[in-house]
Amino acid sequence: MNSGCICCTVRGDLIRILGNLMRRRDRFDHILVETTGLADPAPVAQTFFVDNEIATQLRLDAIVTLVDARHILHHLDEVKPQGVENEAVEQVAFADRIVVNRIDLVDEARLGVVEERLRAINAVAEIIRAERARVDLDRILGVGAFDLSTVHMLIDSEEAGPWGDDPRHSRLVFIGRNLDREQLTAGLRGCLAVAVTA
Amino acid sequence: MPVLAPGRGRAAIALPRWRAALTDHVASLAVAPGGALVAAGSLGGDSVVLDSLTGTVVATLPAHPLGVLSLAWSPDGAVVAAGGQDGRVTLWDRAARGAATVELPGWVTSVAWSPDSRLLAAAGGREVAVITAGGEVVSRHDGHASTVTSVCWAPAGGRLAAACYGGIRWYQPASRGESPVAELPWKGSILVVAISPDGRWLASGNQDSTSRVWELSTGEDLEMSGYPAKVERLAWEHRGRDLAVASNEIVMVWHCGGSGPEGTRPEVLETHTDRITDLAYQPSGPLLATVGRDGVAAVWQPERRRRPVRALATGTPLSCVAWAGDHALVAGTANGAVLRLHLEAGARAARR
Repeated sequence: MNSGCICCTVRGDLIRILGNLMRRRDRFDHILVETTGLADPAPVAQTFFVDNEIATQLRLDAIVTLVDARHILHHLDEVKPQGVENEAVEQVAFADRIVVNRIDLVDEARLGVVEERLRAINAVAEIIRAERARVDLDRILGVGAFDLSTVHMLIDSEEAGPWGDDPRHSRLVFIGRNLDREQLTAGLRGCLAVAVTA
Repeated sequence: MPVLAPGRGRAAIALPRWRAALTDHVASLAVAPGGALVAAGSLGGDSVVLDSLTGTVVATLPAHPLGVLSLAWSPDGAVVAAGGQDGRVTLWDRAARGAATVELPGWVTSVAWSPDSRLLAAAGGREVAVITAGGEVVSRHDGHASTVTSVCWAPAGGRLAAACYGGIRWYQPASRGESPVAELPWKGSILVVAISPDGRWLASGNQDSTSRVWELSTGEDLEMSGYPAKVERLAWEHRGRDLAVASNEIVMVWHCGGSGPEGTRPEVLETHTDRITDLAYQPSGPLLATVGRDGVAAVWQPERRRRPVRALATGTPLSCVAWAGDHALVAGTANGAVLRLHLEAGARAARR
């Protein structure tokens, strides 16, 4: 799994912290991991799947992203240097719940634009409007929202030799228990690139 | 508490001779040279020195709020060092019965004494501090790219290895200052390092389900793969001929004598039914002890057979193990107990 990115070092510390918490006598019912606003959520989510010790003891419930209704479009539009991810886009894309906060500071039209933009990045997350970040906890904690659709970036690929005369097909092998073939197929189809007509 | 009958019903490990209680999961054990005293520390923050024959508490060590993570006795037996989640190292002097404290910028996950007992290396956050037995800081080595997970000393030459994501840095704190004197780069997350007692090899256990050995005279490295999960525990046989590596429920033993492990297959030791949490070689014999979350303490003679020569199901998940001399084991449990387990007759015969 370690391809040499900085994410792996972050993951190492998180694994150690979670592992240590789970060894204690006073076991936890829930653990809330609050990342910085600049965090890439992918390695944090992956931690719950790639490390055997963590995967057998903890289940990722949901990724909740809090966005500022007034400033989010600016952050989503920010152009990053080549090779650097836009963290705001990543955090919205990975979310199972998106809390749109500070709705009292924007008008309804603006809110519509913001939500439409969020939908374009993430069509499946539930959007929850909030003022002063007041949210019914039952909507964001213990919701069991995290599912396979968010487990991307777990596979790796590299360029092989020329295809030659072999038949043109690709094969993706999943190894795991109780995998839902239809769900996986539907999810992958949802990722297919669509030709843009002029 | 059933006693397993390993092999042909021969000797087992006897039921615990004594049992001592700490407040939480026993995170670390360290036996003093000679085996008479054992230090045990828990995630509850308490740690004690016990008489390894009777289990009597000989001393209570300074508390580390949030938990003790690492313990090490100096090779001369004079000082026991403890590292905690509070970011502090305490050095408790057995004769003076007093302690010195040094602070680091993160959890102190690994402490190791130089072979001459003069210096302690402690890893906390991205820093390694080198401290005298009296608690005076000799040097601080920072600038690591990520959390330093493990430190160990070469058997000679005053060289110290510090591992983190991206490789291993060598320091010579007593003579060469705070900058690294050499590096063994490797693009991966290293969880633990151990140098063979003959100084020939440095072994690492890694997050990506591999272990690795570097031959220190040439700098050449070999990758060992085939493990089911990450490698957090490894141990060298006392002469440095065999390397035992634990991953999930199995142990692989690599023969590192002669021309080394390249191209060889390891012995695979299987008896545990849950993750192995610790392993330790006999101080001066061929036996290997393992303990696991399945509550089993097993003793193996890897060069003879792939089944344990002795085993005991304690009924409680075990968290760490150490040898108290060549014929007794001390084990820590996940619920805060420390047990002394004695090897019944037959252990002596196995010793060469």
